[in-house]
Amino acid sequence: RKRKKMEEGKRLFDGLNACFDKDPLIDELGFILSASDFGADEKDGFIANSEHKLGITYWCIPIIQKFCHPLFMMLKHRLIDSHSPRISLWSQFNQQDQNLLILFFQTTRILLLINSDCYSAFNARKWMLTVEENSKENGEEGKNLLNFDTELRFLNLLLTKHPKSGEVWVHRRWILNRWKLRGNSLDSIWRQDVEICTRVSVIYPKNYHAWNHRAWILKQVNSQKRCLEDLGMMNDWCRRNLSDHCGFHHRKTILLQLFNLQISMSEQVEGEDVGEIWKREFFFVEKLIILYPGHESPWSYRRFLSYYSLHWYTFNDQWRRKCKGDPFRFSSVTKGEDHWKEENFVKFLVKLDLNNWISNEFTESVEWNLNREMEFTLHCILDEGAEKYEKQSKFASMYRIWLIQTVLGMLKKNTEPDSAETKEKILLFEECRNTIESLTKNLSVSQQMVDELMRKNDYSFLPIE
Amino acid sequence: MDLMNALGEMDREEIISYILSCKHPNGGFGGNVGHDAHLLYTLSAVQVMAILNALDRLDIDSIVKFVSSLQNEDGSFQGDEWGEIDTRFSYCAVCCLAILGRKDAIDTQKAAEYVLKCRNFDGGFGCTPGAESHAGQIFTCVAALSILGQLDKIDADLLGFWLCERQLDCGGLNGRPEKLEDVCYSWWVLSALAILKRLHWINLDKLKSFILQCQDDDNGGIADRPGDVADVFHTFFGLCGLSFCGYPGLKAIDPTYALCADTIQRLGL
Repeated sequence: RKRKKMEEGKRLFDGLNACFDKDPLIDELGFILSASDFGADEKDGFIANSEHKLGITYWCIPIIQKFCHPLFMMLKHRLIDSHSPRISLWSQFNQQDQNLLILFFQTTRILLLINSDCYSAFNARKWMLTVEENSKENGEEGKNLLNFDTELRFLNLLLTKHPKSGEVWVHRRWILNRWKLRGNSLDSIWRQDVEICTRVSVIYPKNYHAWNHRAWILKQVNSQKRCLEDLGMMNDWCRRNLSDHCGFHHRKTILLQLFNLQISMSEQVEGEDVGEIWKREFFFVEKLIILYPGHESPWSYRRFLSYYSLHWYTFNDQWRRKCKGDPFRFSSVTKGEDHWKEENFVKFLVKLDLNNWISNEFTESVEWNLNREMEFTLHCILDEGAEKYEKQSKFASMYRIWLIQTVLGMLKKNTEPDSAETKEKILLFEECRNTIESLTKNLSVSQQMVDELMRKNDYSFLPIE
Repeated sequence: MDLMNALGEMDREEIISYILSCKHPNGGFGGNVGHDAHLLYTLSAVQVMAILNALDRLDIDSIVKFVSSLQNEDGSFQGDEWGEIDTRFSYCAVCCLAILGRKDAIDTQKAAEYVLKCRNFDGGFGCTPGAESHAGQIFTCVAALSILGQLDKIDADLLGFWLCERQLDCGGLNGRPEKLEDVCYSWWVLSALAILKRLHWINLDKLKSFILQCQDDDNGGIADRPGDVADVFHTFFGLCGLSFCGYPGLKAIDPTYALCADTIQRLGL
């Protein structure tokens, strides 16, 4: 009976591989309950249609796995592990082993289709690609089992079924790094990779690996043009996915990269000054916070924007010179009635142009300072009429606590900590800290934590070096 | 099993032979028999052998050679010969060598410097510099810095603040803003808070009742959230979380090494 299973395994294995020989452009993978549902012969175990889609039945997976995995391990041992040092040219293999290479390649393909976390299978492919390159460089004939393009296509295929697999992205980066090392520019595949990341993030939102890869490829190309392009794409994404912290984090990545590019080039390159972009980002996030209250991600993004506005004003001459006013400007501890005055709020709403709230243009900017910030947060905390009020007031309150702690930490580390001006500011914010109970609402964190933070004599939340 | 004082119910020798069968000539261990050597599984192997008090069965020098060979010039660690870098690997390397008493084999100063490069403005850590703060990565970075003796470089209040924001109304913890609660974060978040000495900042009672709701009454295991299917991974992390919450009948667990306190004592850490 065991032999029968093996035979069946081999039959299914051969059938699946034949699919790829017939159609090298397969671009979507799924697992299905039954092949006959799709008009195929059930005992084939899979369906492959003319639109490059492949569906593998659940029932055939364990059979194929039982056949394929030991075969892969055996071949891996024979072709890779048993050689020390490892084989680096095809010609180093005897004829018998050379004949096994196609089969070995096929086992990696099938294993990864079923389980794309099988890192040893990915490693085997890395080895094969390396040997292929070495051999060609050495004047030998390649085996043409795989190359950069086919590998990327295969990874794209795997991602349609395994969007959460970390190993897929690891392999992708290895491929791209190697491609770059051979003198190619990653800029030419930037858009394609961004598309893949977007597509995967739609299938499986808040996908850490996908977004991480998107940040990686952006850092690799390191161009202001691509940063601005990516930021433009993120406008739509962030507006449609307000709970997607990854999306907002990607904005942080882009903005930091733009800042570093500007600093390293010591003058504006093409287009925007980063400080101006920052102001528009404040408007962008504030609009989202007002229009769609109760989402944590925009508030988290606001922290980022505020942090660096204060941090660079304090520690970066270039940035400070371009600032129109002192962002640390703060004149009073706001009491209950002094919340963001109705007329200011109305003015802000007019600027939002509610008739055109889906507009992609963010031409408005915000002249940011702590006075305005404290008023805005207090407004959100007290605006009981707002939708999702409890959540909104919670996030606004947490933001306020975070902001006060951060400001105090920065003032302490200020270049002129003993100046009368700085001392005055410290006193003002200490007063804010003391009145925190009346000015925060709906917190779900422990009172103990808030108390410990607020009662400390030394200021934590120090700026990072 | 060790947490529940039930280690005796497992076949020690069987586990040891299995672990040793995953060893590679270069000193590293694979995830299963025949699989390639990788830092992740090398740490797991060493941890299991430490729990079983069987470190003497390992070729320690070869493991040390494998681990230290994976450190790069900037202090980061790659997971294996193929080069992927991630702060998780920094933790694996540092933790593994600490258990074996061989931290001296790597450049500890550079290792700490690289981890700190992965710190974000919110106090959290990502997998690489600039990556999104993630409770799992935060645990590995905080624990690594603790082992390297550089915890003072972390703003514990700032990071503690971020970690406490992971607790949701249901009492469970998530790993990043606006993600779902998951029992495994009972480990990643709590252990980080414990190392930072701010465990009392979390509402432990609410968390305890959340974890208990995640137990599958039929087979006894713990799932990622109430009603889902249990697995070994989440059972382990759920038990760790309960241990932190002081659940009776469980041993104390060390937050840095993920080993029981008595194992830590035996190792002299």
